[in-house]
Amino acid sequence: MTKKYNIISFLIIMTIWWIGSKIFSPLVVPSISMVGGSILKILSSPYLRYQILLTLSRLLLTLIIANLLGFSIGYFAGVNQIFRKLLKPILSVLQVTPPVAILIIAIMWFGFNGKPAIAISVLAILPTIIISVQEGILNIDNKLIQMGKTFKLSKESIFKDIIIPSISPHITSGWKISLGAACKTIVMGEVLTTTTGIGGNISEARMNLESEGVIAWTIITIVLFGLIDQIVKILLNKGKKTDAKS
Amino acid sequence: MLKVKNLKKVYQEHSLLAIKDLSFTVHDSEIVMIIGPSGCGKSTLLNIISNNDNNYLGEVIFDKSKIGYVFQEDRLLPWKTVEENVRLVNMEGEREAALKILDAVDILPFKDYLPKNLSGGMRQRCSIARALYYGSDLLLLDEPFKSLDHLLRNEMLKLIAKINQDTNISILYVTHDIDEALLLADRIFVLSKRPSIIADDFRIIEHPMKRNLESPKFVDLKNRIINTLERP
Repeated sequence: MTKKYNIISFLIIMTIWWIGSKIFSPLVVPSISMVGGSILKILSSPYLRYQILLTLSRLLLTLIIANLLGFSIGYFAGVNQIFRKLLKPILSVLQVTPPVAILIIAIMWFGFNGKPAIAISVLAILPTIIISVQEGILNIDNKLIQMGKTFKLSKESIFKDIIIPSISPHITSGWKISLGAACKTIVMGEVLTTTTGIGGNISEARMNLESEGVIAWTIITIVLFGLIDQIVKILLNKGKKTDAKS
Repeated sequence: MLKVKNLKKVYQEHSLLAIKDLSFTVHDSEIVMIIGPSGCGKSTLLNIISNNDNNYLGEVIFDKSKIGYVFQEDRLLPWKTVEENVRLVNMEGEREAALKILDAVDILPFKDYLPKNLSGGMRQRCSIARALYYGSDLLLLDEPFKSLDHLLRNEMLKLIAKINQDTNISILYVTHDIDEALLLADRIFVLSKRPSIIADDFRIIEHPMKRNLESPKFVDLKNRIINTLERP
């Protein structure tokens, strides 16, 4: 049933696009065939494919840095009350700071080379990861830990069988939220700070008044990040217990 | 044999004397039940015996190695199945032995269920199975059937009596239910209000779970326990 609605929704968008392209000039609304041709050109060009890989590698670097920082800070915030209280106002400021405001400082620090895109993306998702890890630690049921100690479980077993499963629901929901945010901010950062990667190419197409190029890159981005999101969801769901009866 | 000698417990942060001077012995294969008013330190006592609380004065001597604990709440890991919960406490143990215990406590058909899909009684059976599979020489029970209805509670008490008879495990059972103690115990210790001491000690020789609580002997025993509990 959902599939049917997805198809109908897709057809409606295509129809509006087709009508728009008939009414407006190709500079405002390029035709479907022009955009299709542009997508094919991008996908068949090794250089442009490399640009997609460049964005993906920046995204991966963002996730690695943000998770390393987020896990360490979130863990200490979870186990140390004073650190948690000190961190709270910092997180509140980070959560309401627009990434663009940080972008200017990041450009001053790193220059126009894609690094500012990574920096703002890390800062955009860091609070989510820190809070999810911290909440996970705070929500561990001490009675279960006590049970583990009573039955003399090894430290390794308490960590693997009690602590990790206790915090994993918080972490996975944090990951799901931060992945979407990282995808958006990395491309936005590229648009504003570099000529490489998906964002850099969107920016270049805009400067050359290639509307079809801008839309083609945007479609590629949406499909790519949609695929990543689905793969991550499948992987995270695979980790859940499926063999237990209800 | 478990020996508790001159046990004293003070909660430093509240300057509260919870246990004043407690001494008793639980012999091998004996069922000892401890009755006391709420807040008299019954759970504290079990936490000390199970080594979860080392901040006390006096001596706790247990000449064997393994103490199993059936908590007030089942404390099963919600993400593990019944069988996995049981096997977790003895990873070197044989699977067959675990299945045999699950069968003995009557939850073998539910071995692949997650705890959330079991009733309260079944979860407590699983909790008992876990303590048995651990290889306990002494089983501590902290009001484990408090939340169960009367019929189910009776069934669980029968199960405990059977386990004691079949395995010779010593049992130290904390409760506030006098009938429960009269039905099951070989010996009953009545604790005083906080700071607790053993206010009275009763021995029952009749076979556990085959006692008529309406007989004059048990009615008298019950009244004596009530009188002790009501003593200021």
